Amino acid sequence: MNKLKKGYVATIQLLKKLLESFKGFFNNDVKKLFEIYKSFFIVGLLTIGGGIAMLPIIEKELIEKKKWCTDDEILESYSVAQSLPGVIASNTAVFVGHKLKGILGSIFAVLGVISPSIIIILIVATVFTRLNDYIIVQNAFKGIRAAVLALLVTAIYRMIKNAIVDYYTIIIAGISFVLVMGSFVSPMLIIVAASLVGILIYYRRIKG
Amino acid sequence: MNILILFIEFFKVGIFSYGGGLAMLPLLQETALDKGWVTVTEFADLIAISQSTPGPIAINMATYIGFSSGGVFGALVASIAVILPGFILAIIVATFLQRFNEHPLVKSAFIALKAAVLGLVCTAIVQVALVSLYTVEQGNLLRFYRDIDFRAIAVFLIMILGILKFKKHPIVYIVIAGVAGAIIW
Repeated sequence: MNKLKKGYVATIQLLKKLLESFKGFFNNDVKKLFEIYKSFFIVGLLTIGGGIAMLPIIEKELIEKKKWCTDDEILESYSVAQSLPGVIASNTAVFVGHKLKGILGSIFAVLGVISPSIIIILIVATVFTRLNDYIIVQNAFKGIRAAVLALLVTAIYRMIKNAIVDYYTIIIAGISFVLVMGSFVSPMLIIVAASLVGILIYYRRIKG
Repeated sequence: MNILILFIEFFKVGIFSYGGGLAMLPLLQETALDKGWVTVTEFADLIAISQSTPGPIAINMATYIGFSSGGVFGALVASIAVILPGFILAIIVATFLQRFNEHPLVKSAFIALKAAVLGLVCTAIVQVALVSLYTVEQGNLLRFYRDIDFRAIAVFLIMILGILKFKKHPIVYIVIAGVAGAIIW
């Protein structure tokens, strides 16, 4: 009888300990997830213009401040993120979040990165629709459109240096331009076709 | 129903855009114009707004277009939909295929993909050029000399020189051009 009682008490205590450790684990987990969210919120907030601009901010936030990962890990995440479809910044957040805390970490990291965008654009959009009735704002945007064009043209120049590597790539770029400009096919079809063409032309050469 | 269409369209954009913000322009443009969510001129303004506010350009554009066609909820749906395909694939890659971007299949597809995206981005730029260099809403290439706005051409050329010479952040040029625009028009 006594033995039974002892066993019973021990079991209860064991259960209690388990519950406590689980609680602690859960609290730590939630805390870490919110820290991930917060860090990536800052990354999204300070990345103006997107793309490569986010790397120094990630370095400051995740490597210097939090010591969560190394430079190499970030760079590797970034380079893999570039070869996946969608937004590079959010893809990078998925990889880094995953390293820190699995799928939940990814979700919190991505939500952190897109939150500032959503908040700020909602405010800007509301303000802009009101402001756009003023002639002076419309005129300002005439100038701004010309600047946007200039920014795009200079960006294209950099893209050309990166994308045009041989005669094939010139032809592929030209055909894509003509087909979409003339509204013959959708850009999405071009993307699919180009991937297949790339494999046909380059696969053997790269495989060696 | 409208929200569902928003989700599907932005999810599609999310699947087919490779190479970040700039690469997303032609797809976003085609989708947004096709569905009548924005006009060509609004789209050019949107690029400026997205470049000069915090956050990745593509997310900013998606949020804005979603907001203008479906309110706050539309904004949320569009931004989530545009990142979702990449999110799902990134999770799969992070779990199973660490070195997937070094695979010869991926590498070879990407050489052609980059070139194709370059061609696509050029189509988007031509559209922006048409709305930014013409005095009328929709410029006509055949009446090129009549509708052209020489003030816009001047701003454009000065900006090109400025960008090449000073290499400042895009915001700087956008602000300067905005002030100049308010004065000279």
